[in-house]
Amino acid sequence: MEQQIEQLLTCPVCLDRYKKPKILPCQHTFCQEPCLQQLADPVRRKVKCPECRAVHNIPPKGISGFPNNITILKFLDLPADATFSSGSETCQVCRRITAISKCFHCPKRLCETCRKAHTSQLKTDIGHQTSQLWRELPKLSEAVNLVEKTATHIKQSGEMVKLDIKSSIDQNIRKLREREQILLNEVDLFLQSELRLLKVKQENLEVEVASIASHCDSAESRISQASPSGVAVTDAELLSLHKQGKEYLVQLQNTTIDAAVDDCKTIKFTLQNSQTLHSNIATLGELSSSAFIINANTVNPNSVNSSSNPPPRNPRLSLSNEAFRGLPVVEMFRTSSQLRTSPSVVRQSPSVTGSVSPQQASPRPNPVHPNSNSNSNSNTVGRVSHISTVGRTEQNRARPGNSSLEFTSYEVPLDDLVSDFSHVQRRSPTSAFYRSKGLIQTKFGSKGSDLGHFTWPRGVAVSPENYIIVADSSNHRVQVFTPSGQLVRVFGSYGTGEGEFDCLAGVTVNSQGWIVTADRYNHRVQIFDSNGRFIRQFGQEGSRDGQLSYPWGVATDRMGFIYVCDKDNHRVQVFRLDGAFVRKFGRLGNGNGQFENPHYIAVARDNRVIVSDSSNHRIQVFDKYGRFLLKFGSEGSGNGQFKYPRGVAVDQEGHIIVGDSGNNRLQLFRQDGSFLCAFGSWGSGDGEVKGLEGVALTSRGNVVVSDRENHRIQIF
Amino acid sequence: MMSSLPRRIIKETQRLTNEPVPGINAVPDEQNARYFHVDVMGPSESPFEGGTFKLELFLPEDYPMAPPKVRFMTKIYHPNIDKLGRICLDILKDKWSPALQIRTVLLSIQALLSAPNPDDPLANDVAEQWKVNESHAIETAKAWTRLYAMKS
Repeated sequence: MEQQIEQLLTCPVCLDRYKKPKILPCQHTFCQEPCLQQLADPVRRKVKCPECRAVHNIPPKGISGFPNNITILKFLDLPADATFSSGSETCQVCRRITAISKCFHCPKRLCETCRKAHTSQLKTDIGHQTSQLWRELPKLSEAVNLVEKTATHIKQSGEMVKLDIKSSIDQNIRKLREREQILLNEVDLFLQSELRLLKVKQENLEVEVASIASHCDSAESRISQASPSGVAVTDAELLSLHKQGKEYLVQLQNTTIDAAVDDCKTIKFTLQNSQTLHSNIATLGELSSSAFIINANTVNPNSVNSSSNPPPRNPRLSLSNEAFRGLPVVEMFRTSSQLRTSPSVVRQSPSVTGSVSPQQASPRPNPVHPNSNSNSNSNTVGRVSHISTVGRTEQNRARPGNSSLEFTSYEVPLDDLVSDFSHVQRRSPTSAFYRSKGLIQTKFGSKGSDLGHFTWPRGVAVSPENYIIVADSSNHRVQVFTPSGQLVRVFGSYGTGEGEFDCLAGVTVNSQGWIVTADRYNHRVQIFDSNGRFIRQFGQEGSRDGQLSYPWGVATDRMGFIYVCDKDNHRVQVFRLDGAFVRKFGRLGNGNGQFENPHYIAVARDNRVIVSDSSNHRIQVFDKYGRFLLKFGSEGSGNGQFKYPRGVAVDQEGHIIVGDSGNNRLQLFRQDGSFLCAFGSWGSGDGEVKGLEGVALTSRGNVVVSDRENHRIQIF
Repeated sequence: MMSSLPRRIIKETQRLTNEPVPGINAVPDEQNARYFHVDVMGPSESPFEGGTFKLELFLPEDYPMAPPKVRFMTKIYHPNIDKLGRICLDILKDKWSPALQIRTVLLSIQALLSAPNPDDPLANDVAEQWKVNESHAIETAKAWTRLYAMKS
């Protein structure tokens, strides 16, 4: 009964007790506000009854013009406690009159049941929250892991960087010491020869003294010989004595003491440009920091630039000459090598073997800029130059520098100073072609991770259609370009799954056009078809047969065998195209057939296998069964010497191109390992490289080079 | 909670929970109090008998001035319900009144299942079938009920 009455006192729109009930002409009642108000159509001034849908006109006063429903009002006015006893309020939710208690977290006054529902609602909410939190929590723990990993990686890379710095500074120190030694030796030589000269002079003078003295003696004895015994001194004798004496007298009068040491030279050491040298040393090497992407594992021993900085300018040794006696003055120019080698280096004339000869008085005009030198070593390039005669009138003072001297010079290498300057180069047709290298044809790429950009490009390969395939190592992907540098396709991303890479290094193409990659930090090889679709992978970290440890260069032969430089295992492994292990050869060492950090590999047409044995600074050649054939190269910067050689490639005739990364140049050799020519230098301009990695050859003989620190590909 | 739920909705929800409509089960969604998961039993004596049809019901911002939005989630062969589950019912459109409530809407829908109206169709081909070959249509409706509205 109560409920039914309550129902009659409920507005059908808001389902609440009537507030200001208004009765419509159709006799239905609704609250004035907000219920009836919302139903009103102010435009047409009509209201449609929700119950019967009758349309009424709104009175001129508005909604409030409708009459109040007095009956309902009276019912509403009945005191709540009168009709419904117990003196308690209505629950704010269910409107039932029961015991009310206040909800403890919000100001609602609710009956028992509603409060329970309310609380349980709260509980459910909390349940949801907790489950959500649980779901999201792993993110944080992952972040923690990530941070830890990053810390370790950063520590590692920091250590590596320190090692780099140490080794490069050590190198420079070594060079300085060598230089010192050389200079000291020269001084010794000089001293020797001067002292010899002086000694000769001394002897001569002594002889003269003795002879004059004896003449005086005899003259005196002769003239003092008067009567007693002895032979009478003849007139002729007297005359000759007189004459002799006169001669000696003239001679003596003409000589001044000082003239005896007239033509002696002293040696003086000046350290040219010491200011710049010191400032160079002070600013030697740079450390660049970049955003550390942990997943990229970019711990790269070559990431510090100091190793590829040019070596400091070596001091100049100048000899100040007091007089010139017709002997060629040794004017040494130790120029800092590598710095200014022009790309067209190869066009130098063949150097002449020879020794210094005093007879060459006419200098052959061969104007050579003192700073440019070909095939420069980092140690010394010695030139002997004729100085146009500086006469006796020269002052004795030391010459401060040699830049004021003009001379035409020609190069005559001194054997004891320069190591390997004097190969006479035979000509051959392809050699001429290679000799003209040094100018680039195309270059493309710059640092970045967008398409067409690279971050540390490493291996390169040329496909049968002459597309250029680049292992974009720290972007963990392979990019394929046309020979003019247009992007054709890209595939790969970071990860360990199929088609994913982690700092891939080497890449090669087999005769079918399939792309074989060395997925370095995943210690595996992945094979894709020419469209970049994953075909298969093989390999896992380890040192057993078929296992790889930081594989670097890959190559294939015409039979489809895959050769992998298993760098940290210091060996080469051979696999079939389906991934089956075939053989391995090599182990750590520096003997024949041993490797230390073999980086890249190439297979010639005749199935000879060429490996860049990086830390041994040499190239080794094997037959297809892994039997050692030959090796060439040693540590250094001269022709045929390497510093951490990397990329290798071989052309149809068997010429071997080596990316001599530590010397920032490419060197070409014949099949037998004899040096052919070299080109390239350090820098970021055209034809200059920083950090040579992979090398490949196109069918037309262009050399494709991965210029790692410049993040680009250059084609010579 | 969004701009606190109007009293009316709370009240209706309460009532639906405390006094459910027979054959109809309407439960508000845990995360959205304006969203209801509804189960309607196929009315007896209808081809939908025995099936349980899921519907979703949403109370828009201006409810009760605007009608709730209702949709069939279970596939049903009915001339007034299209393949997306939209319902052709006048009170859900122009004949809506704030005096109507959720329970009345759901009851109406249940009534619609009992009495399909092919002359005011939403799904044309189904309505066509119903008019051309009613018994066949009824058979199809029964088949669909078996297929979709009964948990096997």
